[in-house]
Amino acid sequence: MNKIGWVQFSFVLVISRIFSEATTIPSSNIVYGMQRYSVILLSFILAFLVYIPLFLIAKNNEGKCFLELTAEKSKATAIAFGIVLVIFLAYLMTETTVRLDYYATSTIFDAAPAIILLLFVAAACIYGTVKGIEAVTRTGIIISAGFFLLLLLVAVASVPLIETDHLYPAFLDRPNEFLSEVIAEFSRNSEAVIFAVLCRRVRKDSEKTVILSLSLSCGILLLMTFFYNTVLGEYLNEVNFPFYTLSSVADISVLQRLNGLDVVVWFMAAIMKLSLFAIAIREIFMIVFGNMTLSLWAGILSPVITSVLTYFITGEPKIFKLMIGIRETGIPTLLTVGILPLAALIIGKRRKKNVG
Amino acid sequence: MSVKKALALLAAVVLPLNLCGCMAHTELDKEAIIEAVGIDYEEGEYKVTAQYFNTDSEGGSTMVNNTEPNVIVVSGKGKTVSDALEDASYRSGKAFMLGITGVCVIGKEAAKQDIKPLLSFATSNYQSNPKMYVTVSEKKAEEVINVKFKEGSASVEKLENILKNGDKLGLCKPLMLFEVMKKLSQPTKSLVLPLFKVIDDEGGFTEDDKNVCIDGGVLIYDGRYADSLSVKEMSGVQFLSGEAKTAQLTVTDKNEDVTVVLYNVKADIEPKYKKGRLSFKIRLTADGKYANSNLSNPEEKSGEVARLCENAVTERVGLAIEKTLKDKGADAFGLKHAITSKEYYSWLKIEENYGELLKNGTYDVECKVTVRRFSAAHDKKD
Repeated sequence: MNKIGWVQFSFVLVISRIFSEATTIPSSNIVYGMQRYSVILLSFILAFLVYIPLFLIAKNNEGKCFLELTAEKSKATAIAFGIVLVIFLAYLMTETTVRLDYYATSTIFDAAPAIILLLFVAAACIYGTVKGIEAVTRTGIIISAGFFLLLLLVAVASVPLIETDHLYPAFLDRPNEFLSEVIAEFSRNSEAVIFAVLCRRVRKDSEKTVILSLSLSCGILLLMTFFYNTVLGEYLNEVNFPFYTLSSVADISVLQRLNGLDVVVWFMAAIMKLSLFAIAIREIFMIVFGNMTLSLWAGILSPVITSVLTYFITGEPKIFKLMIGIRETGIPTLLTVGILPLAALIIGKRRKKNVG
Repeated sequence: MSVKKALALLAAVVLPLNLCGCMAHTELDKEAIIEAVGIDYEEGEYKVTAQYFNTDSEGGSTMVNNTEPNVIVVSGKGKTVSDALEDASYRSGKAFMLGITGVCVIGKEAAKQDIKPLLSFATSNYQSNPKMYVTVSEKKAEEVINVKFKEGSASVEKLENILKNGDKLGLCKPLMLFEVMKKLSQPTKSLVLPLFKVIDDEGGFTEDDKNVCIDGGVLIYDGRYADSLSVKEMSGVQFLSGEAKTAQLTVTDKNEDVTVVLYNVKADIEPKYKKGRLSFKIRLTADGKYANSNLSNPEEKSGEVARLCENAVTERVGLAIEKTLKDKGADAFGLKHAITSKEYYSWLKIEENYGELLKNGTYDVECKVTVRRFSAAHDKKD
């Protein structure tokens, strides 16, 4: 069985999380203002609280995920949990592919036929799924290096453009929207579902992934918000891909614009994230049905199905907005990475008592 | 490594190169690399004049070299700017690329339209250059774009250098596209753009005996042209917004002219909201050095020269306040940020009535100049 390290896994999850931020649409989802800092901080505190059951499972059951623990106690419950997880993962795959399609065709591939783009993405994901988690996370580390280089270059190049008077001493400037913003921000941590399923593939100390990935993602998002607020100011409210815009205005020495690097990083990050989702689906089938061939086909078919769905959804922005709206209620994330693992913990304890 | 593996690796590297054929693409000779764009508004239509680099090094009327003008100008018309650009592209037979466009000049009539949607031809195009300078021309933008400078490998370089020089001398603050959009996103949608004027060329810098200079600025209020600003008023805007890092002033002390370069220019603005009125205490500080003086004893007279500079700066700032804040209630200086960073809770009370409060506000301007350096080569009278 392929195994990965917890640090490696953490970086892959961080990149997956930041991808959601860098390709945020519609534009109103990231708003200029100091409230964004408190929203990010609170959403990550909330995320950590929700992940406590996952953390405990990872800590006390090395090499096992909550679905596996459930399957050991009750096959029927595991099937039910598996169905919920697969539906949510398929949904997330579709959302990620739509985001990538919007991002790529809005920025540099404006004349690219959608079908070619989707075929390319699906083919890359299938390859990643077949190769397995070890190969995908290794690629993820290379993408992480690319992202940190980009972040460093953008940060250095943005220094002359920083206007600190855009900062003001109020961390609650839109009180009516605060709660909905916190929940929406929390819901963007959807990559946690990857951890929920794939933590069984971590060599040891998988619970540390939760702490490292959450704290690193939170820190990077706060840093990005600082640059958004001080460089783009109120214009941020009208920008679809803020990090792309930031990298367009940042120039450093011979590199007059860094947005090309931005596109490379997020395109690769999307493929990596999609592959991880597909591997997670493959893993769920493996745990629930124990059939290697079936699970492999599930992993292979998932990028194909989501690419077909994406092809139709990209022409229907209303459907995409509805999809985002459902996810931003926070319920799907809460259910899959909070409630289901908690239920698995409870089932495990009850069965132990019954046996006793 | 086996031969089979090596071949597979080679195929993996080489075969994807053919994928570029799957995407629509434009060859370089079919692409017009737009250097400057001029936007005019005539008879209910936009007219775009685009200047692009002549890439036809063979067979073209001009060769790509540093001694010949290497630009071609093309224009098009349409209901929107994007439409007009498309028309110009059709006429030129080339696809337009806005990725390195250096300057966008808006004609006076076009500036009277809402400039935010007007500029969306660039802001909604993610491949366009967000760092292109945005300016206004005294008459038609077309006239500015048509001036063909002899210097530089590209004509637009000269326009960019004029703007950068204006910034250095404290005459104007050239604003880039993303900075313009930032200011247009603020409450009064106000900003000041440098004003280009076409003049007769006396130095032989251009092919057609026309040249371009900065002649003050244009106040944009509520997203549209509101008024023009003289060179002094424009300079005042520069000082007040804290955007003038250096400036040059010529003052007269008892019939003796002294040119002083101001550097380390800083503006500290203290806003206060009390009893329904806004007041601002504006403190400007700068260091100065003689650039040229006819003074008999420049070191001794530095104090007096500093006072004269302070008066000149205060006068300019006063004029700028009168024209923008008092007349129109237009916050072209980012005073909003001074309020939010220092009196955030007052801002919540004044946000809705901000423009009116600016008109009725009081502005107390103080300036402190310290002449610290004395030019080694100042002209002493015998």
